[in-house]
Order: sequence, then C-alpha cells, then structure tokens
Amino acid sequence: MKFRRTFHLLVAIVAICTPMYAQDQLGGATTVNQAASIEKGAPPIPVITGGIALNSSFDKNETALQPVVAPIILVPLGKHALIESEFEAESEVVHTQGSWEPVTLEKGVEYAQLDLFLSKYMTLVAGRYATPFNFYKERLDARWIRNLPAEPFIFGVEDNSSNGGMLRGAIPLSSTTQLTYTGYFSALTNNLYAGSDRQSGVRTGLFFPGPRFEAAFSFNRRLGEVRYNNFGADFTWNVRRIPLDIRSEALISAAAGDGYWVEAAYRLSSPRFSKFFRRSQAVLRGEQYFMPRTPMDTGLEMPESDANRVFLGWNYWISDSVRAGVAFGRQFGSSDDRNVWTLGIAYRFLR
Amino acid sequence: MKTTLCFLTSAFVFTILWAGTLIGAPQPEKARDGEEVYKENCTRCHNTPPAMSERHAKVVSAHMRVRANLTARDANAVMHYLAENAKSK
Repeated sequence: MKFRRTFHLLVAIVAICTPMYAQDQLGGATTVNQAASIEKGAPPIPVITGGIALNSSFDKNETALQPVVAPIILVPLGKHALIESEFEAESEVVHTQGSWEPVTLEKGVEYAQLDLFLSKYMTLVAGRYATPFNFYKERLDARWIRNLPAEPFIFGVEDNSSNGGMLRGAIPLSSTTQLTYTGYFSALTNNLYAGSDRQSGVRTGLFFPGPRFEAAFSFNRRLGEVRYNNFGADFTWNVRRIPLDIRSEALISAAAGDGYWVEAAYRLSSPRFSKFFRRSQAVLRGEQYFMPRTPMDTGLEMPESDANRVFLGWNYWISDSVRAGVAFGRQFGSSDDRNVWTLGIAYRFLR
Repeated sequence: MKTTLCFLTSAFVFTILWAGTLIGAPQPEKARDGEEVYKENCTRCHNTPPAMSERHAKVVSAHMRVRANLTARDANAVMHYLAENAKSK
C-alpha cells in the first residue's frame, strides 16, 4: 500500500514538473515574443457570458416548455490561471392528459473550476468540472451551441459533473496531427446543487487540423456502490469543401446500455441561396439505443426500452447572438412510437 | 481491478509525458493564422465568433483553451483573431 502511494505521488510530481521543464527549455525568442504580444494590450478582465433559451416540445401525449438560464463567469488570475463557473437553472412546464403538472425547477452548478496552465500543452483543473466522457457534455451542451434542442439518448451517461482533479491538454505530434488528452478523478459528494459520483476516466484522441477531423476514445469507471465501466468513442468532422459538420458519439456499457448517434449539419451559406437562407442551417440526426442485457440500478436517465429516433431540424440565426430552431423527430421504440416537434430560441450574451 | 486501474492510469500519464516531452515540446513555435486556427478548432462546435474586446478575447480564449483542448499557441492565435475581428466590426 505504501509503495503504491509513493508510486502515485512520484507519477504526479513527474507529470507536473516535466512539462514545465520542457516549456523552460523552449524559452526562445518566439516564446518571449508571444508573451510580449499578450502583455502589450489591456489586461484581461472578468467576463460574464452564457445563454438563455426557451425550448418547447409537442407530441401526441404532452406539451412541454423548458426555459433555461445558464450564466458563465470567467475570472482570470494572471496569465497562468483562470477561474470559470457555470450555473444552470432549468424549469419544465408540462401539459399532459388535459391538465398542467406541477412546475419543476432544476438548478445546479455545472462547473466551478480553477484552471492552472502548467505548460503550453497541459492544464491542471481542480474543483467541479463537466465530466469529459465523449464530447457532447463539454462542448455541445450549451443551448446556443447544440444543433437540436433534444439531447441524444446516450447523453444520460455523460450528463453529470465531477468534483476532483483533471489533467488535460493537446500535444502537437507533427504539423498535421495533435494528440488531445484528458484524465480525471472525481470524489463522491452528496450535495443537492453540486453533487458528484466517485469515478475516474480518460478521454484521448487525435485531431487533424488540416481536414478538421477529430476522433477520440473515452473510458469511464464508476466507483460507487454499483461499479461498472463505460466505453465511448466520438468524432467530429468539419468538411472543408462544403459547409457541412458531421458529429457522432457511441457508447458501450454493460450497465447503461449501448448506443450511438450521428448528426450532420449543413450551413446554407452558399451565394446561390438567398440572403435569408444564408443565415440558416439544416440538421439531420439519427440514433439508436439498446438496453443492457441485465439492467442495473445505475441512477442514470436512459431510455426504458430499445429505441430509434430520427430528427430533421432547421436553425436560423436572427443575429449573431440569437438563434431560433424547429425540428421534427420520429421515435421508434418497442413501447414508445411517436412523433415529436420541438421549437426553440436561444440567446448568447457576453459582457 | 485496482491493479488494472493503477496500470491504466500510469500508462495514460506516461504516454502523455512521453508524447509531450519527446515529441510535442521540442517543436519550434511558429505564429499561426488566427482565422485558420479559429476555423479548425472553434467551428467544430459553433459558427460565428461573437464581437468582443481584446480584454474579453484574452479571457474567452483561455476558457476555450481548456474546454476545447487547445495548445497555448492556438489559444493565442484565436485570441488575436477574436480581438482583430472585434476591431473590424
């Protein structure tokens, strides 16, 4: 046991010190120039940003309204540290079977973290952070970013935050390839607004800036009362020749089930479209989810049966900060076969 | 299982160290075109850059450096692009 602790301590020290050493070795004219260029202008100031959104969904059984407020506060601490925090409050107003249900309000801290930039290629994160399993939670969860209001089926596995520490960054392997990596550990926290499970994991991938393609692999080990592994894979591809974005995630889990989604979004920015349509985007998403063979009580919000779904959506940027969207979805399931319409508007602010 | 987890964690850390110190770090740092870096990285998730001052751009680029796993060089290039973009608006 003592040996193991010492070993972990050594790994941590080497992990933190070696990149710092490597950065010092670089210390050439370019690094000095970069630092000088940063210092030339005005110093950074705290920023308040985030989004406000109103989504609504309609199917044959119910109508739901979901207003969401998610402010983000960024506080720089010199050149090598940043505090960032996001609070999210989401309400749900549901009308079903001829009557309104009690209004629910979910609120919580999505992340409240201290980022220490240890080197050009490594950042140490401490505090509460969005769990980096696949990429939807970290990168696409914001209402003004996601292309469709509805989350994918398998989002239930990654829809959580962790309290603990994380090492992450990107390393250029060559002029055409970058290695991206994230490794984290989270402790169990029983708190209504900032709770977390005991878990650890990694996400590592390769990013090719030229073709704008990234593929990554995720591993997540749940270390609570019910212990199980989740495996994930994801990729994003921004096609250079046409304004087409393709994204996908997959999940393999003996406890949470298996599934995947693939989404394509085409920006109608070509001059052959009218000025109105050039501010819009067409979106198509297909997804499948398969229940685990032996269901376990994981506490995750996953579909209750095998399900397939197709979404077709259209987004329109009223301005750079305001986006409206409409989507039609058809869900096929062994116990849940229905059409879903969604309408949404999102506003992004920056102060 | 603990041994496996210990091994996987150690393997992950050493892989990153190896790649970072032996491959990544010695590369010469060249200034990159901010617009190109923005298109390569930021448009993977969102399209239009918001209008912001240089002081905002410094903080937002640091935020995105963490969220999108950017290197310091790319985050710096994005910062300059956002600041220049705001001036031109």
